[in-house]
Amino acid sequence: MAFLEVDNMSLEFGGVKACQNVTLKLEPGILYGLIGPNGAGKSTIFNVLTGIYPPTRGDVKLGGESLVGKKPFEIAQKGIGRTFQNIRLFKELTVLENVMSAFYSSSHSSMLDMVFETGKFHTEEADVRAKSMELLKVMGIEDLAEVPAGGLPYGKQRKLEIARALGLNPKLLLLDEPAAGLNPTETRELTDLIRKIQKDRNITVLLIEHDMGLVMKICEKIYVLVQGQLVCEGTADVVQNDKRVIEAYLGVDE
Amino acid sequence: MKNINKTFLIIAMFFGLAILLNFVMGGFSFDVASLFYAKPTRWQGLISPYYYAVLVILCVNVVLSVSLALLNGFTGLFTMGHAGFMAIGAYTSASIVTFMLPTAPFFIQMIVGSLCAGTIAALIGFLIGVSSLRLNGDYLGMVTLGFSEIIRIMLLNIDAVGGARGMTDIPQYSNLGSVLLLAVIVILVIKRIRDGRLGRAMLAIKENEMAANMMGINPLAIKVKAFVISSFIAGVAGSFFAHSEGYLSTQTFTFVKSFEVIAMNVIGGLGSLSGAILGAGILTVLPEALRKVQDITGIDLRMIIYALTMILIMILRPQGLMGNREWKWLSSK
Repeated sequence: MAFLEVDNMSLEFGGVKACQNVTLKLEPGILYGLIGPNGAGKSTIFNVLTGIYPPTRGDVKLGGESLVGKKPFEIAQKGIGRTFQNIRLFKELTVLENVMSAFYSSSHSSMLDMVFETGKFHTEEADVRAKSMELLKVMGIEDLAEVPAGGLPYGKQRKLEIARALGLNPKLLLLDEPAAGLNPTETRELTDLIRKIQKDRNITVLLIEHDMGLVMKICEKIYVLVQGQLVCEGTADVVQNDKRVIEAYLGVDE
Repeated sequence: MKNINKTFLIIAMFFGLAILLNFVMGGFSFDVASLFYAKPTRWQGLISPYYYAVLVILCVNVVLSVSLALLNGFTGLFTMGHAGFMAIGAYTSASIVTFMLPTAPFFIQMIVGSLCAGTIAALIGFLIGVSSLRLNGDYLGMVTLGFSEIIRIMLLNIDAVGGARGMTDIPQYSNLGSVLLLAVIVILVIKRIRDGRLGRAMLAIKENEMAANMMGINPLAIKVKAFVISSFIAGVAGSFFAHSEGYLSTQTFTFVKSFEVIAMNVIGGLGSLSGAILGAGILTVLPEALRKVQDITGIDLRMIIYALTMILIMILRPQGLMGNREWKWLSSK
């Protein structure tokens, strides 16, 4: 059985059919791509997976358990981490604090521990700090730990968002256009980084991206979404040669 | 374990200072306790009753301002009902001590009174929080303003607490020593909450609620927590205020008081703990200090200068005097 199942899911806003009968089956430890023209409903699928929109019909299951009706933070605690297309960092917090905030639900010191700064508080705080620093090192931004996140250059903000999502220790990582706005060098660097993280941590990654070079290079399986409907799924080769995909991107040959 | 010692060290230092002060003030009296609870006669040996009164109000205002900073500055909840929670605390404590513990020792009165005040205020804060925290921004402000006025009007119509005449003959056990101690404790508590995981979650929610949600943080739960903690502290502040004044009137707790506390936060710098303290200091001391100006000029320029100062601060430093910086002893590093 698949690890994340989106079963015949439809989402409608009044008459607008944002997603129609979308079925995804994600296996653990594989890097998936989700592509499609603008407005195809890719980010909407992310929003359904993370509980922001409840699906109109159909079901979303993580490890056999339905996520429909769960609150976004509950779904996050179950191990779905995500980044945003338009970066949403905690700008006034430092880079390190941004990552540390992701450890909220997995740490346990109580109010009294904080107020009296007990041993438990200090051990846990040091632990969270060390783990966060490690994530920053993975992303190569550890030297910026004490800088306010809002002051980072754009590319580093993208990296920080991924580091923060990893702080949740997710089983499934949703990346919404991680390479948007990056220059070719940065994109190449990020591509390798995503690949490395996915292999090292053995997590499932679902990635939305318009940079086809990136997608074709690292995604093991690609879903193509057009106007809210899945039109094709398969490896890079399959997708590149699919008639409907070519039509969607380039138009019909008349 | 190293830092438990730090907590003890701060408290020990405070009491050490108190003992020192005790000798300076009272000429080798061993009655240290009277510095913290009892009629203010011992303090008034050192400073005039006028300065004494200003300092007491200053400490109460610092406590209020800092507790509002937790809501307004750290969690990003704009509330306009702080005076209401203070009123609940003040009247709860005054009633319990006057009607149920009139003959108990000061020490017992203080502990029971302030804890009950805090608890009842926190309870009502919880109810108001749960029912109104689904609202955002200005709407939350309006609702909390409404609630605080409801509380005030209710108190105004309870005859047992004096109604419109106000409540008199409240045991005056708290004095400058105890409000000062309260202010120090509250500042430390709020600082530590801010620096812990709860504080980070609060700041995260203020910065970006959606992203906080995606990090597994339950925004509503954190907001309710912030609300409860803040109203607890406001209630305790009300209790100490009641027992240092000895007289309560609902006129003290109008929305003007709530706005004053918000102004302290804004002038000091929203999101800065140091700013909340500084703001409380300025807004309490400035109107009093300007009385001196009146003595010199002969005409009452007090309100004009006060208003001009406010306007100048808003124009020249819209982010508040501290911005979001902190004094060194309050910074998180």
